[in-house]
Amino acid sequence: MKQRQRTFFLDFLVQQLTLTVLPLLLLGAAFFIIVLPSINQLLFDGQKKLADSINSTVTAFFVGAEELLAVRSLDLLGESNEEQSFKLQRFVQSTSVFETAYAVDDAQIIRAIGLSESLTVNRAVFLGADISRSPALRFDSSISAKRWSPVYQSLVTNAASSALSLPFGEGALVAEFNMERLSALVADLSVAGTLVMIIDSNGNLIAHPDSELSKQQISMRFSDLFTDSTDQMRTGRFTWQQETYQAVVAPVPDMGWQTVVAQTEDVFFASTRQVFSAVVVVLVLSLLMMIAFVVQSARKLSRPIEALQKMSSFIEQGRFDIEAVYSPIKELQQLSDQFLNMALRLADRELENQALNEQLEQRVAVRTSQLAKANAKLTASMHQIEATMEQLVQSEKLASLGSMVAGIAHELNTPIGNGKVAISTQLDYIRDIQVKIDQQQLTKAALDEFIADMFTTADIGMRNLERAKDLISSFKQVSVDQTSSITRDFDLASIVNEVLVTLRPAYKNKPFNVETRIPTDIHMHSKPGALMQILTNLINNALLHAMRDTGGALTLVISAQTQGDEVKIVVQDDGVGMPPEHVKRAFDPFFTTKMGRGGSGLGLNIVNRMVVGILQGEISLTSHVGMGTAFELYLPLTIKEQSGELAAGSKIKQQG
Amino acid sequence: MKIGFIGGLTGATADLGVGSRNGMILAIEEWNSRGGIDGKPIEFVLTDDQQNEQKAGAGVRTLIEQQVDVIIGPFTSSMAAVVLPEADAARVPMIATTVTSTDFTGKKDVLFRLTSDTELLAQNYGHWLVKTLQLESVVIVVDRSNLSYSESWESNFRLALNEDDISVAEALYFTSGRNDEMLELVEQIAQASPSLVVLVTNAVDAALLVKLIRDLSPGQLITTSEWAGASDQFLQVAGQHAENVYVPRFIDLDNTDSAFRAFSEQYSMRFQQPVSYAAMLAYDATHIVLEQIQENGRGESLLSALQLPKEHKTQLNTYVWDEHGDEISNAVHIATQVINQQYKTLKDFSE
Repeated sequence: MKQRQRTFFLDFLVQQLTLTVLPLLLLGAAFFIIVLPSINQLLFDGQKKLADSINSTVTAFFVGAEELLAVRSLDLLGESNEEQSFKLQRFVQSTSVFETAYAVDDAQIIRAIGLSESLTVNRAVFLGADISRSPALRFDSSISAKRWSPVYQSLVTNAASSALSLPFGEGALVAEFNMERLSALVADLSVAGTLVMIIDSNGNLIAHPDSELSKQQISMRFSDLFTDSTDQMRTGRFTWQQETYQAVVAPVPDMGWQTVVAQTEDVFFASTRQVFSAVVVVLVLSLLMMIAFVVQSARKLSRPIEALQKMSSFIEQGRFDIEAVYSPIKELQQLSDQFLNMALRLADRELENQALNEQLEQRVAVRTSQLAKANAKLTASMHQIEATMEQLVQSEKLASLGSMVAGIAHELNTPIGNGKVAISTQLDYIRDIQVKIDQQQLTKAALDEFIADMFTTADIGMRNLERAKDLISSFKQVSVDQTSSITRDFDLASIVNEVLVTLRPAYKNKPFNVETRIPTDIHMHSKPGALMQILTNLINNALLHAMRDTGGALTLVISAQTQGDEVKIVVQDDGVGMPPEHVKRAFDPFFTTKMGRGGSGLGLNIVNRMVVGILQGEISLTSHVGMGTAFELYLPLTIKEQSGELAAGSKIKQQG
Repeated sequence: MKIGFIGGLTGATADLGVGSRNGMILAIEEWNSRGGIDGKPIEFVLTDDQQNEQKAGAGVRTLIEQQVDVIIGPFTSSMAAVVLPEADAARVPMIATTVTSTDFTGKKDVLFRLTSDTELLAQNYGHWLVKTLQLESVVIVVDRSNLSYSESWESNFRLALNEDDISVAEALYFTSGRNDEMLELVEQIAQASPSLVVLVTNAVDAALLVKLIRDLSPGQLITTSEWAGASDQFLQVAGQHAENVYVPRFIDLDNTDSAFRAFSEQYSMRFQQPVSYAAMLAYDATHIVLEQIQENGRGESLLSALQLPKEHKTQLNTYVWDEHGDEISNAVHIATQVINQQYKTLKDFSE
């Protein structure tokens, strides 16, 4: 299994980083999962406590206002309307809490009224005003309890207002809050990024640090936070004026109002965010530091290793100009020293090798020149041998030619002898007839017989002369063939016959039979001279070698068969045969089993060379001891003209 | 996508301003709950003109800086006179729902209104009063603090009455908040003893004047203009003194239309107050404007779309704008009388 490879640097780096980063990550995770939520919880709890405390302050303010009015109401009881107005005026102007205060009778008509200095309205305008429809009062049936009104448009101040009403006599005492004062109250409480607001029982904003907003009767009912569970303290988020706030809403007891203590999310989660950022910064810094440190140590370690690796690659390349590596690590230093040693030794060996090589080259050069000389000599010898062989071949040729001529001469004797006999017989007949004529005993019968005999003998003589003529012309052809080695068309059968004719005298008196099985229609375009020489040689060989010492007749069969554009000629005898080791060497030059007894050892070699070189064929030999020998010749029916041979121009007419 | 608001959130006309703001907010909250425009929530920027010219100027400049796409408001003609030139220069359309002065009629500008101008309002109302009541002489009280409106209303009302051969004395002027002027005025009225007193004032001033007048002359026939009928304010403040006073209004609380009932309930749930016509008009205005923005986009294409003479149908009403952005069909206008401390509808002028 092939493993993906990494550099040492990378591997070490990854390992170390994993080791160091993992605990950091765990720490980080722990922080986010455990610590952060705890911090947030603390913040929520803190906000709740703050809200509680603020709410208490707000409640105290309103309770204080209540008491103020309640106390005043005692003071007013029983006074005349005028006096009440006067006291109410003083009351309102002495506190900053109320803008105006008035007493209404059982029909909710204003009977006495006090106005703050900021109001430029005339009291007279309001005396007798019917405020039964005003949200300041709006009682169910009887004036039974104190009541805090939601914000409404005050007829007196002509501005948004909220009123506290207490039962008073038959009617009520109504004091309208100084909204600026309420705004100032929450403004004082809104410190350090906290927004404190008061919302009335209708969900309208009644007090906001910005007094303008306080007066605008803004409905806060867009958020469930202000409409649901208004009797309990609750926390939640709301978005207002493009800000999102985290808030605690606490009911102001007995009023149906709500105190809202809110911080924008930025402010609320500021400490969380700070801690978070601080931790993140620390984590990141630690991470960076660790990475830097790990990278540094990885580099420190990997540098000598890389140097060592460089050393060994230098050596591999055959460069010995390497630099030593210095490392505080023992093993690495040792490696470096060893590499250096190895390099030095290799360098020395290189030098030795070079010297040796030079020597060798010199020796090789000497040897080469010696070899060249020997080669030249050998070549010369080879040429000599070839020349000698050529001579031998020529002399063989001549020898065979000689035997052929002897054969021819022998052959010619017969027809010429026969012809001579025929003529001399004819002379006898003529003499006889002459005698008869001289004796006048010539009978017709004797004349007829004489004519018949004359015809017969003439015929015999003619035939023999013809025969002689044929022989001479074919011998002529043979000699031409032999001496000029031309290429011409011929029938195989007639060529074989020619050969046998020339050789017959040689084996006439021997127990030697020659059979031919050659179809007469095998036409060849080749060199008949060479073919005849070959066949002559093979037949002579058989005569010489195949005969059994114990006597017995030897039969030689010459057969031929066309195979495509080749002819297969088999020359087979049933003689003594040859052992395998002779078969192997039969075609070798100077191989003979009858050395000194008439064999030059060149015969078959010449045959082979002629078959292959001149007739462009192949020859093979099979022989088994006691079974006979067979030579197989495969010759192309048509040979291709060879350059440089006589074949180029001469064409001999085939005729006698 | 920002809507700007400018109106009197505090001060004498707070009922108009606060109600309009709330109506607008209700409409915006409805749109945002459906995904806003193009999936983005609609934001709004509030400014308070306090019925004060300087504050109005500062407010509209804030809105333009905040790059609001449209302004809802202001709600009195005097404030509109200050805001319009700046909005016009910045090419920001403003829907001033309750600005009825004829000063703004027939002008190709960025001002669009949902109530007909005083010409229609005052004249229709005047003719109807003449028909309904036996009138011989009429005294008109005019608040200086909103002259653009009050004078325009007064002169048209006078025109209508003159057409009907009723004599109208010279108008009596006072400034809102100046109680001493009020007392003086009331004296003059008591002396003149007209068959009808017409109060062209805000709700609180109307309530106070009604009380003061009826203190001196208990049976005096009094009517206010539409300005005082914006909300329940007049009734709350005047209490029993409001009985029998005629109040022309833009909202018919007896309306049994289910869409209106639903709207009314929704509004009172949300704001813990009964719905006022200022709220209804601002609500309608916001819906109209948001639909136009959704169809046509913002900027110049919005302005061009708004400037097409067109009928705008909302769930509650149908308004007809001409090419000047004036409402010409008297879409919402009813005459009421306070009976048992409630507005009783006597005539619907939009029919």
